[in-house]
Amino acid sequence: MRAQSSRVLARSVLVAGSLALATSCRSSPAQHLAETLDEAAGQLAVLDMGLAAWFGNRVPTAFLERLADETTSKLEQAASSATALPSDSALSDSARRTLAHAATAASLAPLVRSADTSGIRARAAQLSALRFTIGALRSRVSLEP
Amino acid sequence: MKKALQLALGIVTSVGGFFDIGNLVTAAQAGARFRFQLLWALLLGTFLVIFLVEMAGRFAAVTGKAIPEAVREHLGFRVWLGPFVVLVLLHVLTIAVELGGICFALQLLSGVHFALWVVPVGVLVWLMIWRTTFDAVEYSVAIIGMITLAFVVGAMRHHPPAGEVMAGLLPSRPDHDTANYWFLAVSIVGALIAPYLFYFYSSGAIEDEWDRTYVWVNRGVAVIGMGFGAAISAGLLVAAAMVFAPLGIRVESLNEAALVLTNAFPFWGFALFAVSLGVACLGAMLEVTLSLAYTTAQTFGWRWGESEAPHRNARFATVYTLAIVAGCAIMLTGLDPMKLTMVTMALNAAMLPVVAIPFLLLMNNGHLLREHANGVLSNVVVGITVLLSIVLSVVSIPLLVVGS
Repeated sequence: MRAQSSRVLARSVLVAGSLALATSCRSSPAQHLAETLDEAAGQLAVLDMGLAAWFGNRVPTAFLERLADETTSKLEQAASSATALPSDSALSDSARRTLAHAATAASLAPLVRSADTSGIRARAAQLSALRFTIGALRSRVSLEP
Repeated sequence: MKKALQLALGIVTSVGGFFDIGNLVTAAQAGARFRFQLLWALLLGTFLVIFLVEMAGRFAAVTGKAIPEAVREHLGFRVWLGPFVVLVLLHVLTIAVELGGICFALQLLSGVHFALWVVPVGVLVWLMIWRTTFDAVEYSVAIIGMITLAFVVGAMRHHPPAGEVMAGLLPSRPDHDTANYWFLAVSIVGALIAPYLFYFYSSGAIEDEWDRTYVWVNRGVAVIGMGFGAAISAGLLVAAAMVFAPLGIRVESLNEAALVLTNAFPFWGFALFAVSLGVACLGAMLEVTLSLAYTTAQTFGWRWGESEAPHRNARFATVYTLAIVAGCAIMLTGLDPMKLTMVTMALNAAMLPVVAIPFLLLMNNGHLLREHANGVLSNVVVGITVLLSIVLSVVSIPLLVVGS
């Protein structure tokens, strides 16, 4: 009987501890936006590396296409996280609009598919600029309470 | 002379067979997100796996029996049934992620979507097991697997700061993403001490007809082979820390990880990564699939042996056939191989007490092992392993929810 009670107690402690840890680590909308912005910035850096390798004929086109699709997806996630932020947050409406348009504006995959090298070069420059924009937004989000 | 050759081959096998998609994913993420700060988890896992593999080999060499067979005989079938079910689950998940790794490598090289490679690769692996002998599987994969040393060379080409690397060998608190840090630490250890590794190793020792005279060969293979194998993981972690961390790249997908060698080897880097991933996963998939067939046959007392013709041990062949089908089915559901890998590695860590404790009880059986039973040092390490496994199992489940 005592052994059974101990087992029940141990299980309860385990479940309670797991739930407490899970709850304490759950992120707020601002934290979530910060995470998605970090991911988007990281993905843009990967795409930058991928583009450099592609221009040097060191990676296949299909690989670059997948990187471009993943980047668009990350930017869409960041835009969606920004929308979930309360309206009185440090992120202005124009910043949200910038993010919302970033995903479509930065879409590289169609250019890669059509092998439009000059278009890709122009878009690569835009993507580098977008990295700085996202970096600036990220520093604003980190000031959120 | 024969034993020296066995030692050399054993070391090569360990280097080639040790590294798999679990090591690759966890090391790349750890380096990218926390630079050298998680090297201590790699060191700890390597230390533990050396002891576990050495014990598995010593047990097989001294008793001539595989672990499941001996647990069933000495502790009873009921005691073994729970760990066996857990082992089957972990093996099937690991087969699926290794298959995903091979298919992903083929996608990188060919541009053809990885889902289209699942069935052809499954058939190829099945044919390799069906048609070849244990030695052919072991040594061919091991020798091709040496290509993964490219990660070590790649890391050295970046001239990592020695002081920071050494500091990473000691545990320290992360300054960001605490949950992710601990989840990665758990996953690194889980990837290193994957149960299939020591169950496969003990069955392999019996296939190679080891006896008591092989105890020192076994020790050499365990220490040097596993040490070199871990050096490959460390090489990848350091390369990822040098390439990805400064750019804020978090390695969310295998596509991101694929660029880890392109700075160190400008022309060959991408292909080297893809081939290393494919070969490492192929070696691991062959080993895990055979390990599941060995474990199942030994649990139920069936005939087993990779070197025998399939019609002579039909149930053994049926198990590895079904295992490959199950692995293919999981990958065809469209699950992300990288995410599934992280979950599987954390589960490996969480389930370690269940699968390791019966084995450790056997290792202390003086009637069975006589002078080769575990000594004080082995038991202290075993105690720490079990304790750590229990802590990992408590921690990894909530971290699975919030950290991955």
